[in-house]
Amino acid sequence: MVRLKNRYLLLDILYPDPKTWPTAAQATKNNSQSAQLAIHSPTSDALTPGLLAKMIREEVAELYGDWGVGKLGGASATGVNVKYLSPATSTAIIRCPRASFRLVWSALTYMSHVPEPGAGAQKRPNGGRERPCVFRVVRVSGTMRKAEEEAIRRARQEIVRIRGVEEKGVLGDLISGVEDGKAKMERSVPVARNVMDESEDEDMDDD
Amino acid sequence: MFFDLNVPYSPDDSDVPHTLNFLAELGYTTVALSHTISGKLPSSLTPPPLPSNPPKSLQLLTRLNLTLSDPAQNQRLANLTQAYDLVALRPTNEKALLNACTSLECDVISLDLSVRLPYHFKFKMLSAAISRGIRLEICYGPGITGSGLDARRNLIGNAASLIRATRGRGIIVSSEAQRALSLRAPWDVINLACVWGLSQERGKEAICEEARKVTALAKLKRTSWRGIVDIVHGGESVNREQTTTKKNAPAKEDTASPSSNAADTLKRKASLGSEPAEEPEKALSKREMKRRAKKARLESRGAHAVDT
Repeated sequence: MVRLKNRYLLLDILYPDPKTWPTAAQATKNNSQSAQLAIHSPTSDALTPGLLAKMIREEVAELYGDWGVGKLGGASATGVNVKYLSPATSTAIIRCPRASFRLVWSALTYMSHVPEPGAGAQKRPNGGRERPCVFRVVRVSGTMRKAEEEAIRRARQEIVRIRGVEEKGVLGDLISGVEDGKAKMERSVPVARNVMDESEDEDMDDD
Repeated sequence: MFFDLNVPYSPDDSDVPHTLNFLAELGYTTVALSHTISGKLPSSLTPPPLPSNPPKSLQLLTRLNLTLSDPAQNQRLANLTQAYDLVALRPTNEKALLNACTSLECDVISLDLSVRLPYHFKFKMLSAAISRGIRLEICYGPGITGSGLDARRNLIGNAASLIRATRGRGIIVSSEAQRALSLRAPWDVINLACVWGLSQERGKEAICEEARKVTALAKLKRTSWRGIVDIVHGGESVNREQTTTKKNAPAKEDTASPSSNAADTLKRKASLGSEPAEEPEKALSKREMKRRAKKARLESRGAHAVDT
């Protein structure tokens, strides 16, 4: 049986530039914890799955030219497909052909802008105002399911990190030592996990 | 354990806390804040003061980037190494690069890869540097944002030719990001290195192991005596109970430190000679081992033949 082999890239959109943070976060920008929250701030709704796919296609075309776009499945680049995009958490899952996932990944590395929150959804990304950002690939997976699980795990971990700090400030030593220790451990080692996960489950959907 | 050994830094820059926060968020553990000097050295050299409250997960180092064009410029390089945790040279022409590779005392050679270089990298020259324990640095920052199309193209081309000339060995990758926006997460950098022509394992080594070796070797050069003897623990906690040995221990340290200083200032050559000593252990490749095994076999067979 011939199967189309894919890779699923789970990615975060980060906002390191304090000028683009929400105003509430700007007021307290010296606090490292609120900075962490602001780095993970929401993306505007102007970024739709279609727009993200188009941005990736254009970046691949700029970096790799016709050859790159051809590797992604021809002129319409059908190989690149945004499976999931959550502007609230700035997380996305992108499907791409396994043979050319490094093309897509490096295109993401070279991308540095998303649409500004104020800009209308109908505006083109190059014409409208742009918000500088950093795309970070946090997981390369052979199946959609593993990428989803990782997304959930990371979201939970972020909440524990933020809340662990907050509760410590409010409640003192009332919170259980287990959670505190866990939070502390995860705070000291934010992303030490391996990004590459090449395993492929058999129950994946072929489409 | 991810390292970023080149983050441009000046103490009066208000963006520094943000950059450091973002580095910590991306997962880097050790960051070298670099201070760039070109041309003539000022009379008193001290690294700029470190930022006041860095994120707890970051370890900060100081680093000097010294732009080098004239070979006659570098008499005081030895004093520099004591003031900074890392010293990087940035040769601007082939002669200076050759000089830096073969004789100058430094930890990292960091070429400006975002401009067109009018010469080719030679394996002999670069391998001389690597065997002395000096690593070659690729800075991805200028190619990511801001510096234009030519910088990106030159960076990719030069990085590929540097990887080809060194055969993938002794390369470290760091950011040289002017702003937090041109920083990238470690795994994204590894993927970039893959696209440039390193294998994924080598790419990971370039940002973890090789960079750690640079910091460890630099520390060894600075604190120890000829890179051989180092005081790891002065024995202070033991001496608290026994007052008699307490007097001896500081005296011992006193005698040790001037001699090490003297060795550092007077006999640079001797300390140089000690570094390649660690290379031969690693250099025994599989092929070499096979060759030796075959030689031994042949010799023993020859001995048998003589016997019979």
